[in-house]
Amino acid sequence: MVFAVELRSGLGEGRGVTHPKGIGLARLNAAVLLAALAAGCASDRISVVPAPADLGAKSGKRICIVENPNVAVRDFVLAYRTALERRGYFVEIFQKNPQVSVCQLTSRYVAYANGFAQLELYWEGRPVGNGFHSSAALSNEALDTLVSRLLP
Amino acid sequence: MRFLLRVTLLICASGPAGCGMQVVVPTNPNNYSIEPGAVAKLRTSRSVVLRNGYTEPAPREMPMRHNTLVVDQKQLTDTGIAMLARALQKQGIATVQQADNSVTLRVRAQGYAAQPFRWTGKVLLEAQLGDGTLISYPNESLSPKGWENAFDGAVLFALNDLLADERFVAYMNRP
Repeated sequence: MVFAVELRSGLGEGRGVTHPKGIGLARLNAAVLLAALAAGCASDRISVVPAPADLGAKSGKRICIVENPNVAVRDFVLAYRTALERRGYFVEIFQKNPQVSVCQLTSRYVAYANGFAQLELYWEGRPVGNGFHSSAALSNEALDTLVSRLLP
Repeated sequence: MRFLLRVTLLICASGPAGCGMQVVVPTNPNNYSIEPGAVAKLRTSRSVVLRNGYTEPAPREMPMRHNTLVVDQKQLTDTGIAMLARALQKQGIATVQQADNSVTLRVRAQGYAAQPFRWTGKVLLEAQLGDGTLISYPNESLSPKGWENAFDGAVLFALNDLLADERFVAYMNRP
């Protein structure tokens, strides 16, 4: 995923398409091929059961993350919070399951140093969506992608 | 030599299936106890019916790399009921066969995580109150002792959530 993002940003700046001897086109083809491959790999590494489309409106874009004390990946919860905030959510973090009167939409997560991360969404305690990512490294971009697919 | 190669290939090919086995997770209501403080909000001198939402064994099979983890959700619910009943009785709330208040519990095994010397069990606890309210709490527990403690611990944590739930407390304390 990181690779794909880097390729896209490179193309966005117009690099590799203006070479006078046509090498640019070859580079473009290679870049497109690599991007396609990378995108293919990326889709293999992310699996999502998306939440219902109306969940954002139903929740008033408010979500509570239940902190997982067993997750040793430093700052994961903050990265997750930031990813949700980018989607327009107001996020609160709780040490344990909050009361339904406090928060109807909650999320639990797990993340390991090997790049595996799983996010789960619950509406009033009932599962409504989940997604996981697995690869050698979990980047902020990958987390953003996971969150955007989980909460469309 | 060729025979040995064939045998080796056969063993390798059938490895995951041939060596794969079911790991049945036991459960024990005496592994954990609910802290007295968790039931302190409930009024004493009452009675409640606790029911298991499963009427027959409900094994949940969860594939692992080479094995299958099997959790009998009915037994796990029985464990939850025993833990809850013990805590309620200490608070002076009798669990009986017939009463105005009833709670039907159902523990669903939701998943697991296996790491070296760290076992995590995930459950979803559903409590159907006698007035029709359905309360649901997910929880999980990591244990260094194995699957049994992991899943039993997850049930304990979910029960603590239930006991703290204002709808549950209001229902149990209603006049």
